[in-house]
Amino acid sequence: MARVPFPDIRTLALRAAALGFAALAASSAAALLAEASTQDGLHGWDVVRTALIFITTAWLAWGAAGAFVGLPPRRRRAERPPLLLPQPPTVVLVPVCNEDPVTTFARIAAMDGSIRAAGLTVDIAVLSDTRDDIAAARERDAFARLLAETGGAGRLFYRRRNDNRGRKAGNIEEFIRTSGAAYRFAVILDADSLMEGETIRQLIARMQADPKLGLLQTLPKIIGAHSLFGRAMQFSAAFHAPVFARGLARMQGATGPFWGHNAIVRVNAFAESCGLPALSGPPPFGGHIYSHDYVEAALLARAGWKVELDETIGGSFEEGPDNILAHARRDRRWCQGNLQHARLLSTPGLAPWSRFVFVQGIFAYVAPLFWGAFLVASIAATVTAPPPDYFPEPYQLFPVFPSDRTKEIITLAIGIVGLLLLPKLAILWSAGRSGRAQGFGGRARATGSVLTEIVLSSLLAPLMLMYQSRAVLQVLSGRDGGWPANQRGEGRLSPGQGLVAGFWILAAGVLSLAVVRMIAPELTVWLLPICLPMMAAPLLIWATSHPLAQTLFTVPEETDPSPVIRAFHRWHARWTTSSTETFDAVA
Amino acid sequence: MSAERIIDPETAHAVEAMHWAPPVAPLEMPRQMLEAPRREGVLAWLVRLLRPLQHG
Repeated sequence: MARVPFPDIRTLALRAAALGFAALAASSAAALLAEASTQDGLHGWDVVRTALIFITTAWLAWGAAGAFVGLPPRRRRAERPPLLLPQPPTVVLVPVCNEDPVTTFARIAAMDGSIRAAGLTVDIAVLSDTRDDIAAARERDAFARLLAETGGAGRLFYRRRNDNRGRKAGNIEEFIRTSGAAYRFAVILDADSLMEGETIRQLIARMQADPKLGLLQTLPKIIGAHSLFGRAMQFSAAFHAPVFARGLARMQGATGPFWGHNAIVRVNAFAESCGLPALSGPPPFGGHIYSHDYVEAALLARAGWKVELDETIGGSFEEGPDNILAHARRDRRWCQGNLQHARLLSTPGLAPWSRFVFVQGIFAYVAPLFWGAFLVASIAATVTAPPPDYFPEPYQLFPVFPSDRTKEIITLAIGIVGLLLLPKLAILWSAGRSGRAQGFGGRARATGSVLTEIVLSSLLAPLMLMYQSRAVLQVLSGRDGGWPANQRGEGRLSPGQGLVAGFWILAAGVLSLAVVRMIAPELTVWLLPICLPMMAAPLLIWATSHPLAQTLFTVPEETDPSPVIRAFHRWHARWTTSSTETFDAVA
Repeated sequence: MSAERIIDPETAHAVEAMHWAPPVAPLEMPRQMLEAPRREGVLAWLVRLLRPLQHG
């Protein structure tokens, strides 16, 4: 097996349609802007901003196309083959690094119970990369308690690496090198993942049914959010993400995505194709591969294995950041990882779509710079435009007023906003029709949640743009972001923390508005939707980290939690109420 | 092995037992080639071209 899977006709047709839609939307936007801006003649800045609007609109339209491709439901549900006996040896891998051991091991206890309830024999291996000795001691203590209370000796394992070379990818690689031959399949999780035993059963059965399937990715739902920001993301992941993921699955075909967790892999396929070398040169572009998951998916496909995403598989969960700062910190790491993929665009033998996925990942982070450049070019074009000539002809009796092109500019703005909003509104309409909105508190509440999420994401978009731009510039200037541990759990920020974190964005907003007001006052009103949220950055960062709008953003897992979530809460409550002192005593 | 006790980080290794470790069953995981071999620059190519002349 060494042939990259060739996409079928349907996949090729969908890719062509999505690319065609993006090209058409981008061309229309560029034509509108060119027509509006060249009334007084063609200037250098007009060319620049027309090119930039083409690129940025193409990116927006590409995102919208993904949603439109995913909008029609699957005609028939994905196959649910039965589990064949004897059940192949399978392990659940839980890499941890400086996590809260009580919460992590409560999840493992819940999954262990769920796996046994599903009639499976599956091991769980905790792969610790924790560097701090005291934190590691707490992990060992929690693990001893886990074994004692679940009777899990012989099926629950724990090991800690002496050096955490290669970070998470290296951690899993070390397990495969040491213990891989004992298992046919491995379910890879994150420390904050939860998965139902029945889901693991389905995953094993799917791998058994298709011997060419190297990796099957589930769509994890976000759970456990408390803050306005976290709950909005949780809602979005439950309400919008399945449609975007279905579009992605349809367009990626057998060269699908791997998101690093909540997926099952065929151990021998993974072992033969995914041994990652360190890249030549120093970080951020050299050294260990940061976003290893995309690379592993590409390498599996290169070796001829299928990599698929199935968004219909339920019972797969993860937690998300509860405030903007935690989100930005994670995004900084992802930014570095995606930009590092530029080094891999010429990797020999990759499927063309795998290379395209790398380009897409890179563009997701550089797109804000293009938007920023477009704003700068628009201001420059206005400032450097020649003054209107009311009497272009000699001896002209009546003045010629410059033609007003506001209509074209407003059409362009509506088109761009439409590309952002239309997918979400289409998903709302579709959920209302199919009855899916019931799980989100009914049509009215789902509508309120979608509209509030649109307002919130519009307010936060300039902040995200600033954080992403800063991350890209840091990486391009050679700054390695390191590998900070994830911050999980309660993320309430104080007003002071909001001010410290958001002051630079506030200052940038005030400065931008002042400069534009001075040199191109007619553009001030156009910049307000960007500059006002920037000026409110400290307030937004602080406020969204608190539990506001609790009646909105209802998701099915809140009203009717999955059994494994309930079990996790029980284990967590049991351990935190009975032995908080035990775990805290060593801290 | 009591899980109830308060752990002393100085002696924490004492609670870790051999059966905690996953089974030993090694599997090879060859390093993949990700970077195409670097093309030599024109200068290196010229140097290599001239080398036979240098050796007479």
